[in-house]
Amino acid sequence: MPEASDSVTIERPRDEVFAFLADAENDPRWRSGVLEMKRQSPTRYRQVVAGPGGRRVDADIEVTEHTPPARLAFRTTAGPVRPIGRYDLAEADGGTELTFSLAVELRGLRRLMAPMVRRTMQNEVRRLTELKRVLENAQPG
Amino acid sequence: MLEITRVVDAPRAQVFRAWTDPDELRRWWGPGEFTCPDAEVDLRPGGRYRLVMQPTAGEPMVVGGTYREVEPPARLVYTWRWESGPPAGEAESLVTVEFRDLGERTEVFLTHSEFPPEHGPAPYAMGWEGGLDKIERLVAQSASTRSAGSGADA
Repeated sequence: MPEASDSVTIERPRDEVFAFLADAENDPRWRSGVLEMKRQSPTRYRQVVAGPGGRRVDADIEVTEHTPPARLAFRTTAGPVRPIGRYDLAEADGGTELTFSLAVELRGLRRLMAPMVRRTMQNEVRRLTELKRVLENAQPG
Repeated sequence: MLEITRVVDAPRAQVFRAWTDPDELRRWWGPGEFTCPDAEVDLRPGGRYRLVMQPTAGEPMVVGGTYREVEPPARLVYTWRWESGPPAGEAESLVTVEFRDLGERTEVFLTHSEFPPEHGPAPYAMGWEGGLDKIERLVAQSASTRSAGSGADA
């Protein structure tokens, strides 16, 4: 099962990091592959991401866990590959130790997609460094 | 239908051989970490082939079929049927590969058509792209081995 996970320490309070992540409409600010992210209900978002060759790929998500300020989880409900994801937030000396994990089960023919999916997911979780940059440069407010 | 174009940094006779020689196929067939423990090729119109793709975990995926057109080093047309792996019944799809001469390089133009609609193009696209990545690494290794060899001769 392709999985990817990465962690980063962000010099911002956990409540603030959680609030930013809990509104997925913020995602395009740090996930460069997101072309569109629009809330459709309290727990559902329409998402379009850049696929191979820049092709637009539907990747709608549904929030499956919202536990402030410790954990957020979601599942993907559209598109050819539908990973589940999780953000775990821990206190770290006034800052936040954030872990982003993705996993997807590929069966049958879709097992052929595993190498590319794993690479894509690894790139995705590494974008936490961009999230850190965005949040640490934001004006407190 | 899926179409893929890739320029490989090797003459087309070498790329055609990579695509049709069982020993060469065992070195690259399948995307990423998939290996190819077994490859059988009867390279003639009406001849059959069978290729095993082994993921790091789980059962192998085996594909086989029949060559319809064999025109070395320019063109191959062959049927594609899953023997094990994805449930596909007796469904056959069709692969056409053109190897276009660019001198020291080769443009591979691949068409995969007639696969069951429920399969969708994405698994085939990622499978082929991953395999082509490995062909590129293979020919790069061959080139560096050749240049190392010629260096030793000098």
